[in-house]
Amino acid sequence: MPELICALVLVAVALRLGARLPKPARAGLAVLALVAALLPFPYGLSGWVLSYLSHFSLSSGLLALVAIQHRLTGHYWLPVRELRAACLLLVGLALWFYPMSLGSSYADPYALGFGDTLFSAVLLLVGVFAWLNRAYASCAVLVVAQLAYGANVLHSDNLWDYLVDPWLVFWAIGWLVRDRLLVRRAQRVPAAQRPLETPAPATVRVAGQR
Amino acid sequence: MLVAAFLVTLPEHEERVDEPAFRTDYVSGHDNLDGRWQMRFASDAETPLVHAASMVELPDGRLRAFWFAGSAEGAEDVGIHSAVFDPRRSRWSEEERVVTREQIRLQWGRHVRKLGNAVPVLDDDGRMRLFVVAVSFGGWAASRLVVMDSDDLGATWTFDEALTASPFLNISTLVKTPPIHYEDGTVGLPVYHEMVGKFGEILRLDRDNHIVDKERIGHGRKAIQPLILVDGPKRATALLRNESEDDQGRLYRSDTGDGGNDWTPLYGSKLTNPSAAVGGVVLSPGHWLVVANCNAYERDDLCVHETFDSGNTWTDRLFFHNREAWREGRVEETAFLGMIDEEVADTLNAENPALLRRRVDHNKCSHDGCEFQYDYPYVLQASNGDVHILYTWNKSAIRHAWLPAGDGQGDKG
Repeated sequence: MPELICALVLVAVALRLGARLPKPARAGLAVLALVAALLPFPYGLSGWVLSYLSHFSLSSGLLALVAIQHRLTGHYWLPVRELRAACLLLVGLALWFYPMSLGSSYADPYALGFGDTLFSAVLLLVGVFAWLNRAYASCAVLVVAQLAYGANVLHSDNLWDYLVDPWLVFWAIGWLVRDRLLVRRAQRVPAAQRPLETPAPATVRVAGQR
Repeated sequence: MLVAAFLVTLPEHEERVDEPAFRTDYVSGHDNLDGRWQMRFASDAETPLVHAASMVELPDGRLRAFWFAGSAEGAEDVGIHSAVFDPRRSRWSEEERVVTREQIRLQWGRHVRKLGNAVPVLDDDGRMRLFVVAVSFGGWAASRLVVMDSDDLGATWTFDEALTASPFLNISTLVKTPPIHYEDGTVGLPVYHEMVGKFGEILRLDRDNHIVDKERIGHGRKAIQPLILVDGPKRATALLRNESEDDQGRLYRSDTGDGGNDWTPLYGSKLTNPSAAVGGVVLSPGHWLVVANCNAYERDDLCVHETFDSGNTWTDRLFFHNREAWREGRVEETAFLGMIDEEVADTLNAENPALLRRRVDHNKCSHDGCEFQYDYPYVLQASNGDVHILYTWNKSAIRHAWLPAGDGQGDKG
């Protein structure tokens, strides 16, 4: 399973690099990348990538799935506002989580992931909050990651490994930077020059969406 | 679905994790050290370099030792070697390579660049586990832990899984010191990190190698390689190798009074040490034996410290080596090799003194002289009360110090 999630991430990256290709070529590229990723070690890419990066979280896998669907169909259904909030939450969480987990203090938030009722309860509350705010995608990611943890699909006993990974955090930082640039660019364009039927870019465009 | 996900993540045995209790492993009635130590080599000098020995007692009273060996530390040809000591015959078996880098690479399906320290655990049902440091890229700071399984008491091994113990690329987790046991059957594996932070931890593993808990001993960039000395079901002390840049010269110490849920902040122990690994064992409550380099500067001595009051006061029981007189500057090669010859002559059953001499010359001498090195002790008390110590002798051999117990049979405490 870690290989499959890694393969999804690699396919998403390949499709991002081949974004200018026509749609049938993109489909071919996706299949090619998937096969190249899933070949058994030492022939496949996943084994090598995971040798260095350890694993991708379920959240990364689901995000990759959304990105693949977007690149292949041209349809992007993830609300920008929800994605922005999730990215901000993720980056804020990472600023607290990684330094402490890597030894900056006696407190070790990573240890909570090996099984802690309070941690599970907090995740439940976050999920309920997301649901009440119609952030259904975030809610779905939480549920899938926790169920995957129950099934030990990543061969990790730590719930955090299913929720976040450093590469997801780096992606979130990149997305926020790009989102900010798009917003500023949109603000520089005089409102009069915008076509009347085009909504403000920051509210409908996703960073990276073409 | 949210509730279902919540229920799935609830810990299975929370009360077990919240109220841990250590299993004490000392042998009652066998804490007298007045016998005569016997010195042997466990390794055969098959490879230019050996390091980081560990051992486990087999059900029939023999010992199986492990160490890493190859052409150089971190070289691709480094593997895990093993030999068996039979106390009835007072002999070590031939050294064998039991785990290779290529074997882990193929069975795990991940690139493995080099292997390092290995620590064994023998389960009550006879299965043996070996926790091995494996590196896919970079240096030791990028280490991961893999678990090997053996159904024939350590003769052959198969890859079981890699432990995920760190959220950042799962790197920088290493082992060195003996595992401890809990009363519920879980194993406490002392580990340490040395990438961003340098600190110790205990990973608590069930018999399926699932990590059920993790407790931190120290933080920041201070201390590694925690040696856990269990004094009672709730009490234990950790001695740690000092890696602090501004407070060198002593081992660090931390204590727990609640079965390891909470450890006190690190404080200086009363043991002098040059930032080197330590080994030790609890002979009876409060009576500990700690083997370490016992000066603040070099690894050119090795002594046995003893305490009867849980480390409040210590005595230097004996020195296996003391080369303090040659500490200033490097030793001239001929004189150095003469002293090496004497140490080999003092070792029982040394098989190939000429080869050993060449190995030491290669490892410890350069154009401007030579230096002694005795380090990485690993201590075990067998169930009959015998005390065994393994350590790296000049990077060239694994030396075994054996103190047979008296005639009386001990009982596991």
